[in-house]
Amino acid sequence: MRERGWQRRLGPPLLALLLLLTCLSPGTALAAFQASVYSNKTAFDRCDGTPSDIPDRIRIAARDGFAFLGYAATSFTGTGFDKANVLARTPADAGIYVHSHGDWYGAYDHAGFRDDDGDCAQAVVYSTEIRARKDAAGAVAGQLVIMSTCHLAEAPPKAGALSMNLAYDIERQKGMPDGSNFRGPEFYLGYVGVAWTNEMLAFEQNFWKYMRAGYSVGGAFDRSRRDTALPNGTRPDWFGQYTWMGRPGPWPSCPDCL
Amino acid sequence: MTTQTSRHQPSPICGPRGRPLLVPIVLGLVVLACSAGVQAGRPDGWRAGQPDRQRLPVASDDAGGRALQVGRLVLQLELTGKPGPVERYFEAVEQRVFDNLDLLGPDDEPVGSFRFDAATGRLAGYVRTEWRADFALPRVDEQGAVPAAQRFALRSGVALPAVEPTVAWDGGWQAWEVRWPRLADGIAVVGDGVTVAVLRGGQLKAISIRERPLRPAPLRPIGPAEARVIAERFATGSIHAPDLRIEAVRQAWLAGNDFAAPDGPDVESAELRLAYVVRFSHSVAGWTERQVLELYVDAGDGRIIGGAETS
Repeated sequence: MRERGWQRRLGPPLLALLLLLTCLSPGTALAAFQASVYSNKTAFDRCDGTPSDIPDRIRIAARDGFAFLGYAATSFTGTGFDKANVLARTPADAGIYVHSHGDWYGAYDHAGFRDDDGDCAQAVVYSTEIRARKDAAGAVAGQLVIMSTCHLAEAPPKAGALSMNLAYDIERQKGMPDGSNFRGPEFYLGYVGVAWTNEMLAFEQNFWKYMRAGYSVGGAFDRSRRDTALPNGTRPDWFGQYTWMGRPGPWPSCPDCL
Repeated sequence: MTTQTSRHQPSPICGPRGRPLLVPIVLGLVVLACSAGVQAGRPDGWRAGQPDRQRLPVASDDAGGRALQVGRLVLQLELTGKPGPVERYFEAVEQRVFDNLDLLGPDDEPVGSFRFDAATGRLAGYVRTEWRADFALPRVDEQGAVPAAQRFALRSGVALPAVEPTVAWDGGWQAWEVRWPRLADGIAVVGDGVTVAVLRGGQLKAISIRERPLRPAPLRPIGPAEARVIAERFATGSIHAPDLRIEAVRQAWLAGNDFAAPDGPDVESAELRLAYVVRFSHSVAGWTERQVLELYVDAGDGRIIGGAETS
């Protein structure tokens, strides 16, 4: 059988190249925007003696959610989730996710979360330390910040204490769907008071589901809140811009492609 | 018969007549790369490789019925907007099928979202996703939230459990959240009940109705003292905290989970069982609060069927 010219020889490779470009181009276009996903496995597993796999499930859900939105997402747990690594990556983080213990720590009651580092000593990463790294690096356009911990959506307990949302320069304000109180491309999701890990997992699974369905961060929050039973009183809250689609980068110029 | 070997013999990487299989292999790799990308977009909540929801076809009768239901609810609940298309999904985490329908505003942007239990056709939830300045007017306070919520439930055709509701301000919703927990045989059904959120301006923010099937109660249930001993044995064997103490033991209908056996299914059981919730607390070095955790003890056979912990 005779070969049928250049179409036969070059057609399949060209088709393959086209498919490859089609498949990869949206991700590669946005790969410059870093997201760091941290989950404290050791605290909820070995340290407290309960064999929980929620830290893994919630981490993977978050990592895949950030990746879907176009971030270059990397997840860390165990020794990879140590304070030095968190602070080193902070300046370039357009997205950050932390599942751990969170509280107001120290004499000044600054917000903080515990690292993992594979042991039960678990250093506190303070909001002041994150803010210092952010200030030194300058602003990162578009920020999706999720603190999957207790307490870190609360107002500071005393004057002078730095909240985690302000560490990322996201004010305690809600930009509403009618355009009032406009905030720009930013969203902070956290919990008020004590949060239960199984309820956080259920809520966040729903949140990522609705993000993948193409809703805005606020629309996904509202639908997840409706669909998730929180019988032990886990209470998520948010600040930022309801209508943002969560995708990294500067605010788009066209009004219909937020 | 002998087998001839020639340079045209098919080989693992070469096709007939020596035609390279490189192109099909490259195509295959591309397809694999693309499908891996799709897989990476899925969370890992229940069973590896399964999607979190599956789109199902909706019969035209069902779609028309839902649109009529929404039309009535829009009038009764004083909402605005027109019904969008009905989308039916099997939700893997909840293991149930729901019909979702967005309420669309003048620009076809969603201003609200309805959810119906596809099996029964009953309303499962609604949430308003629009905002107007009058939603924040100080018309409804904590005391006024309960009658307002009752009114919205009545207009939605939702029967309220005969229990005292709880009321709390919800910052995320910017609304008063009124909850009626479900009881069965006088025992709380964890996670089930009716929740209505009322905006300060008196409008409905959200309504949620959850009523899952209950497994028959055991004929000879164990008592709370026995449940306490079983939970204590499990806890002291794994939690090495000198100040571990039991805070409370209560009976409840609940869904088992894989808290105590992480190799189990990653979804809660669809059927609720009668169980005891044994709540412990213990201090952790460096923490400002005691950690709280719960163990669920099956009221029938005394097995640990799940649990929960604070973060």
